[in-house]
Amino acid sequence: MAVRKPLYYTSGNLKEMDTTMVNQIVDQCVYQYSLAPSVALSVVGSSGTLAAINDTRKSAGAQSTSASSFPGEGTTQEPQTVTVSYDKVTETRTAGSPTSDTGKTWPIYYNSSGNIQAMNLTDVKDTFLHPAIDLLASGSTGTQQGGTYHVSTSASVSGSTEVSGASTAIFVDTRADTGAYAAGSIPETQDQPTTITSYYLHRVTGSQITYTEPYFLDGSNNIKEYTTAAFDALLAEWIKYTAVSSSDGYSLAYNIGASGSGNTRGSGMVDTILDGSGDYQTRQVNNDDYRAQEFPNGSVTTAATYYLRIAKS
Amino acid sequence: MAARTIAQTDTLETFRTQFNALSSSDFGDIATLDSNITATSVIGAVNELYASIAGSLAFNITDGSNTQTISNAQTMTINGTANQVTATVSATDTLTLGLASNLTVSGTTHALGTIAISGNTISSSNSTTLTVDDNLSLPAGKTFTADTISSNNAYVDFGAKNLSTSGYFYTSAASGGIFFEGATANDFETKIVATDPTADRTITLPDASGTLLVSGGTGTVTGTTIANDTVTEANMADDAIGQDQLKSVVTLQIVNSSGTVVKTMYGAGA
Repeated sequence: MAVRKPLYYTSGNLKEMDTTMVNQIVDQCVYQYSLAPSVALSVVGSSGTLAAINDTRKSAGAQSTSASSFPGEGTTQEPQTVTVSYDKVTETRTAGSPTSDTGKTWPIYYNSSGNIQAMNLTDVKDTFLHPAIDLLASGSTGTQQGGTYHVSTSASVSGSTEVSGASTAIFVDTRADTGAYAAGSIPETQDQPTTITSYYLHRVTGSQITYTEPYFLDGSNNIKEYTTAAFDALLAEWIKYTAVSSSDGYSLAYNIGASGSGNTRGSGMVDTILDGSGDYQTRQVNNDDYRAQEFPNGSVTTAATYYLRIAKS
Repeated sequence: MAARTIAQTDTLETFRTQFNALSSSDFGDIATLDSNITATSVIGAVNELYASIAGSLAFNITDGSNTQTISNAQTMTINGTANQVTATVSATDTLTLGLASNLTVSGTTHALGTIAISGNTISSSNSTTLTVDDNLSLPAGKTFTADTISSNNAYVDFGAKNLSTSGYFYTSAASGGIFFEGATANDFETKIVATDPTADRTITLPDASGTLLVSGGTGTVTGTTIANDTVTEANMADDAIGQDQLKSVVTLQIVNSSGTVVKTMYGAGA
């Protein structure tokens, strides 16, 4: 672990940045990442690369008929379970080709001998990149997680952008609409769902940071201040590359499921279902037409709760 | 010519021949007597001669304005004025005139050949140069005044003597200057010249001992020569200050990310 204190120019001196200033650069890493996340999620119609999740609900069983009497409950089909798979999230990883360390690529710091030394990539990782990844991979969804994703039951979340752009839910929890079933309508349409909750994928909007530009060694081995654009570009290249290709345990990946590694992001996507054994209803249409059907009933239970997770590896 | 004598025993002939010889040889032929002598006898001629000589023995001496007659039997005394002429009478009948050892000559102008002494001025009548063919020395305390001093050599040799003036020492013309032969008399000298001034300049020698600084000198200037806090940035040659010139030098290395020193900066310590 080699966290450095980059040098900046103040009052004619080269001074070590304090923790606040270093953290501002870390935050700027996050912001640069947020502008074009290298681990991006998108909403697709189907066959997303992340795991599929299922919405389950009850539907009425098939009707039973008899010409002489109502079919018995025991012979009437029990309510069925309808499962709808949501496989709508795809992860795309774009590492890019970051600038190689020339020996003088990164900010300078005072080494243990009191001399001025350029940070190497390990220093940069320990000082900027990995702390930024840690922020990105946290369970929060503030600006320090810009460019990462979370799930919300709302299609519009302040500080985030709905990913599909068309309020396309990535998961919809439905249940049988018990009010839609009526004995007089037997045979009722078996699957009469009602939407309980829709879940949307959002990307956190980053926040531009005002930070102090550190100094570096130019081609003539002189000490020079980065331009904001140049240093931003370096940070952007490397935070995105790290998020995709880190070999140090700091690459990012998303997963969706009832369980998984990493920190959960946003609302858990709850699959609720009615737990009843069936509401046995009968209908006599005429003297030789007796019908029976079991409608969904029962209490709402949670079949599963799915989370979007972000994990380092 | 011996006196003629006639012995008692001599003959008359002898007398006759002696007499004739006396007459012709000893007394002479009267016919040859100077015509200015009127006497016809020896005595008469002698008297006439005496009278003539006695009357002309006096003579005059004069200095041009004063005249004295020196008569027969008078004595002429020659006295030289002190420090001018000396007169010495010596045997036989010799008068020696000389000049005094310490000659004093009155008057204002005296010429010795082409050399004239007039008052306290010596000059030449045929030259603009008066040559003293020997060393010329003025006694202590005397002043030698000259507007121009020249030499037959390339320079005026003052020997080991110092030159002193309470005024100024001038050299003129473009090539004028001061030469220093140095310890070794050879073909090499040090010359001091002045660039043609465009205004009056004053170069003041400091009240200190040491060696004058010249642009071609090396290793001459010392720290004590330079006043404190006077060396400015402009006086420093580019790329001239090294780490050895810094006090309590400290170094600052610039190291790349691989640990290689790419630059070392040196600064003065506290």
